[in-house]
Amino acid sequence: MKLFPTLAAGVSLVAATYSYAAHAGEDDKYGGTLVVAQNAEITQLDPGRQLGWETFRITRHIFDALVSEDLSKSGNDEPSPAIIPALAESWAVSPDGKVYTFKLRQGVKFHDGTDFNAEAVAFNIRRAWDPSFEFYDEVTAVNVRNTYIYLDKVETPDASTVVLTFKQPFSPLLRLLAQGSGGTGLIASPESIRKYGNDGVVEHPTGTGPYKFVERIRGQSVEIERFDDYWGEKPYLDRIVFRPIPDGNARVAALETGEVDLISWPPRDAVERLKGEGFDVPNVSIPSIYYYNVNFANEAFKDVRVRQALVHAIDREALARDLLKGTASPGYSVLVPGSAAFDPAFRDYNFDPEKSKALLKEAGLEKGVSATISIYAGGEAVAEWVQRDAAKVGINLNIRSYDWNSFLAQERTPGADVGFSSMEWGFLTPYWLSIVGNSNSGSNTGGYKSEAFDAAVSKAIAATDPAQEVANWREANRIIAEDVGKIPLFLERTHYAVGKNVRDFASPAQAWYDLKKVWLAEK
Amino acid sequence: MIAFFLRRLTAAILVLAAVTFVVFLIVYLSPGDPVKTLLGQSATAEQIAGMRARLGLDLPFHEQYGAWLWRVAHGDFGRSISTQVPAMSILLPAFGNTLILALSSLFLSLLFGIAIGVTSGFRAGRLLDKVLMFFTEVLAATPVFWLGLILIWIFARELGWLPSSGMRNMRARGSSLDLLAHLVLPSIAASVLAISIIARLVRGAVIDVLASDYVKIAQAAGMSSFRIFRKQVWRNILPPIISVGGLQFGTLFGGVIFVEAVFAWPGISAQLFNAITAGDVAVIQAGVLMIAATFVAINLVVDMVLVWLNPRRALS
Repeated sequence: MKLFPTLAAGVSLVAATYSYAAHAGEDDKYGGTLVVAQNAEITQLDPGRQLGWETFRITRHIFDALVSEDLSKSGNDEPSPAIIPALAESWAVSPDGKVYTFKLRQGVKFHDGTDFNAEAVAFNIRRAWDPSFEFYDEVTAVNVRNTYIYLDKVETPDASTVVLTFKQPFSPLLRLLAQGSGGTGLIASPESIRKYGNDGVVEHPTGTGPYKFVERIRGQSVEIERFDDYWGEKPYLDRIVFRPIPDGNARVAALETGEVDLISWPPRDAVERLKGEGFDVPNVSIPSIYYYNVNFANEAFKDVRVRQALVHAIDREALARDLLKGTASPGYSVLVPGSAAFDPAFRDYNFDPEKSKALLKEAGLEKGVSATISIYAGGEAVAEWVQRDAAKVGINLNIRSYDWNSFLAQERTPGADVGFSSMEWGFLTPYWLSIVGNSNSGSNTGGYKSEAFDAAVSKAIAATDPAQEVANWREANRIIAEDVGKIPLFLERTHYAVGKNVRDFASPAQAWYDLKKVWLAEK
Repeated sequence: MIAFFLRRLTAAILVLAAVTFVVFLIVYLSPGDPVKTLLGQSATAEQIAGMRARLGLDLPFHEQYGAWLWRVAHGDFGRSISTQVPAMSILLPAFGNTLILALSSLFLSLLFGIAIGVTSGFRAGRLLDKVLMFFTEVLAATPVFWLGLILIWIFARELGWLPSSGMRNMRARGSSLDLLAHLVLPSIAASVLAISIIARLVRGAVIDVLASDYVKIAQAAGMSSFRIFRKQVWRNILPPIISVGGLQFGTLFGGVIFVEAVFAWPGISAQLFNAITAGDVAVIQAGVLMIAATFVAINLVVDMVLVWLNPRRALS
């Protein structure tokens, strides 16, 4: 009899000690300032106007969308981040795929103290989509065009319900709402837009996210601090400071001296050294691919056999391994990793120079063919690699390099001598295929046009059955690959280098990250 | 003197007007398009054309330039197209930071330039002179961005004495001591060329003055070297120091671009670089105008000081 109380006391003591230890460990994680060095000055902290990954890496901590993505795991463990509830607690899609009904989270506050509700959602959507709306913003409308292109109406039957009705079934919606640059569904406080105007939001970003905006000093820093009334789990870090350090060597030096805790884009040459010094450099691919657009105005490459010959000629595996030093992996499809539709085993064409020569001969071009590759600065080494491989089979490529802005100016209207032009882009949603390759898409540089591809894309967008959707996207991907509508080259893999004081940073299969669960060993 | 000042001021304004015209023309003729930066990859050709029309970017050159000039005459430098904020709200703080760096570099340049120059001048032809002149020669030939990386490697990475980049410690609210610590390495990197130039100039001036009859008389009368420097040499080498110092300040202002990049100093060059890569004409114009105005203002001040030191110059 006596044994039991003693044992029970002992057990409870152990349990209490254990839970205290676990609890104390949890408490120890809170506090401190994380300093992040970005590779470029960010654009605009306006959810509708922000472009670029570095910007969205900040804004997604200030604002929430109706849904989010689970970015808490490394992309090597979780190749397709799940869609998770954010400002919407739940949602339902009508059987015909046209009507999305969102049930909103209750009691959520914006950083300015105003309430989040269905009106706020409608306000933000109309800002991006409804030209008759008082706060319609043209820049936002252009940026998120792909998200609301089929939207027919927005309804708010009550304060916690939003109903979006589309003109046709639109399967990519949820994934697009969680995306940055070009798809963003981040929601700003309507009060802040009324108060500061469409042009003023950029200096007063006000959302519902885990961190609130403190200040931005251009060229120097953007500072955010923990929002105490955040609806979700309390994040560990007190403050996060993002600073632009465009020079790669300076970024690395700042990491090595401990001035910053996390850097974007460690220069390729520095990766091995940093790893040797004990820094973590995650090797993870994200949904973005470096590829060449094919300019279909160029006569020499109108014959699909000539395009296939070029792809057969390029040793992309060696390019990623030797030239890019393992900081990238070869890209074999325009469809990028991250979605269920991505098939890691898919290959467009193998490296096979003999096959290239045979195809050229078949096309009557055994004497050779030539064209120009137009690239933006930074892609020179890769272009020279492609040039060298192509020359071996008799395809002569000239390289024309531009600074980014001059490149963009001529990209849509290159001369007919230009056969290919470089680009790096991508979205996790397979809808990306439509953005980049659909004949009606403004972003289909080079003018790839295939009725079969467009049909497969339309079916995928309108699919209501997930398995059918995946099958249709894979079909579209197969068509554009066989046609060589674009030439995929490689996927970058070393996006960050992490300081020794940082714990639980995950490099997810997405172009941005989540810092809510990151903590510092020493504050 | 007032007439001289007014004459120079008028010339300065004309120079600035000419600078803005040339820069505007260059931006107008260059291929970039800020609207593409603003609207991104998803924009259609019609959307881009529409936005260009609304922003007045489709107007002929003389109308765009005329409108810009008119607004600037009224103190409005326009909005940045790619970031949608007033150009001055981007440039003014950055300009202030560049000014801090340039002033601190000027201080180092004058301090070390004069010290080395005077020492070398007094010891002309001897070993110390040769060592110092060799040293300044090497410094003058060192690329600034390379020197910057070396300084970071030694003093920030290996020794850990000084921060490698930026203007303040991001973890704590910066004190003025923190700012000073961040200033040391970039100021040194920015000033080496100016130190070398000023040192050589001062050395030459000292040698000239020492060879003059009045100094020889003073030496013959047994005046100490220090007294000779203070009474005879200093006043006579001051005018060339002021003109070269002024010139170097202008050069430093333009030349800190590399230093700002290597040390991530949040100055005007990074903002101008962003604006140029985005083809953001309002910011480019205002930024170039600021730099040109600084150059012109420094020259004006230097001229005025020289006239004040030697009123005969106003007549020439």
